[in-house]
Amino acid sequence: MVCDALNLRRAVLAVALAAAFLPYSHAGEISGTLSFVKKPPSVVLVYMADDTGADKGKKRKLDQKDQQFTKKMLVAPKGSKISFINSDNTDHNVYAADTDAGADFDIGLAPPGSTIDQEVNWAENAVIRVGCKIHPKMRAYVATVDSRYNQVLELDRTKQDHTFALEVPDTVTLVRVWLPNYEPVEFTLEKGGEHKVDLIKKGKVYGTLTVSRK
Amino acid sequence: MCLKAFVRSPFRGLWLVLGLLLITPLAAQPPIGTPDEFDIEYPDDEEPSAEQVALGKTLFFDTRLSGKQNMSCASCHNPDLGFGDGLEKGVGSDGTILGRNTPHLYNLAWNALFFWDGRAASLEEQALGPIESDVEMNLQLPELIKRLKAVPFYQKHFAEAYPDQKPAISETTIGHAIASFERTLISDNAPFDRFMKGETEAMSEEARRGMALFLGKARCINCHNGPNFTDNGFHNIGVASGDVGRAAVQKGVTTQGAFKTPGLRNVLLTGPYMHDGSIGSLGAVVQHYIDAPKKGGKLSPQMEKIELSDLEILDLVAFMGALTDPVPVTPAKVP
Ligand SMILES: [Cu+2]
Repeated sequence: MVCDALNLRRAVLAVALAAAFLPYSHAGEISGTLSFVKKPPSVVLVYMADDTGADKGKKRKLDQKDQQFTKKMLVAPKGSKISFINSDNTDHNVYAADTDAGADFDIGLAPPGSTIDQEVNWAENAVIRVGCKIHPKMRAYVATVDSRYNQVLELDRTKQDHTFALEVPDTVTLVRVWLPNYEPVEFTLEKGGEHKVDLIKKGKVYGTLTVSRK
Repeated sequence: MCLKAFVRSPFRGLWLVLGLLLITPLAAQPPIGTPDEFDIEYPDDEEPSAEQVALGKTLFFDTRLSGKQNMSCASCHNPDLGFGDGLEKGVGSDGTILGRNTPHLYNLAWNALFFWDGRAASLEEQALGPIESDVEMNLQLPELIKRLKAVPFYQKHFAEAYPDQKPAISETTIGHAIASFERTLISDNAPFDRFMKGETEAMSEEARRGMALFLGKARCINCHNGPNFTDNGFHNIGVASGDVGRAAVQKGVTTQGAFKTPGLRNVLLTGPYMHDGSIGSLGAVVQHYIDAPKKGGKLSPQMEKIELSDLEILDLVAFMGALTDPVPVTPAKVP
């Protein structure tokens, strides 16, 4: 009972605090277009790199089904935990071997129905690839991102043009865009601004990104 | 739909597959079907040009690629022998018997890792491996480049196929050309594919029964799944050869004695079977899958215990036969 009362007080306080700050942190929107000259990549990550408010206590989940990861990318802050779930009817495994990011783990054999936790204990602002040692075609990315303002776009690879929109508060301005095998993109964008940049892979332009902010 | 109409329905094959999918649990293996060329991952998403493929074909048949000039890629990957050599284990240019069976080349365009142990991450990388291996073709790449540069045909055709590459003849372009040719070895019009398109009679009654077993109680689908009948995975299936397989490339609890699941398209043409070529017929292969789980050992959990009658084994073999669509290749004229 004491505990419940305390929680209630905390909740009331949280709501009050949020209400107090609301008038000062107007939420705007960042929207963009990605156009590719060829087949687009399978996934794109867009995030505001100058926010660090992600909840480290919350467990993120990455599931496996039909011999695939159910998501192409998972966003998790450093210090949080990822639950690797196997909802498939065959055994799987999850491992990473990214020496640059310091991500080196192997959860071993993950039988159907299992959940195995792994701490995100490698570099911040890194995107690492995780895979299954039994099925090397199974691939997903884990992005160590502290920002609450992020969006993972799983692209329909039959289409060359893609759009996205992301609600962001006025306090953050640093946009980062990550695409597998492409050079990462980073720029600041103020309210009312627009930014256009080439998407480059191995020194060649494979597309353009246009982002505007309201 | 009444039974008679169902039996006559041109889409009976499809219904059969849909029905089988419905009765399997919610999580399932990637479905078998006809491969889609859209799903091919070309390096840098660039489809090769016709010039690059033609050049790769010439290189594939050229014995200049071996130290003693007595062996080409086609010596072991013989188009008339299911892009294999029909032998238990490969034989090198000096007669050395190699450690493993020569893999076939069908539908590698969709494949993930190469060699039985998956040590090459791309077909480009794979193509160069046997050339440099001292027990296989035994020719160092700088020496090969020198040889090719001395041939006017290659000077001309590398320059035409790779106008952006300086120099045009390099390890990169040689690997790219051979891999580009290999990616064209596509088999996608077998009786099975026609059956899936609704041509019910394309597969015999035996093959149709075999397909139901393949997807059902024989559990072949556990690993031989997707359009090319492979999960591209690595499993220990209990072929006792003393070879550690995948474990030599990647440590882990699942890699000991594990070898790549070969795709089954044209499997009838690609014997003998297993990584060591130790099994001569498809019937005996199926028998192995019945026997191995009973013996125990460190098998992949995908190797479920199964029981099949002799007739059912024949049905399975008939179904594998229905995956036959040879890819005829006329040897290139070597300059
Ligand atoms: Cu797996």
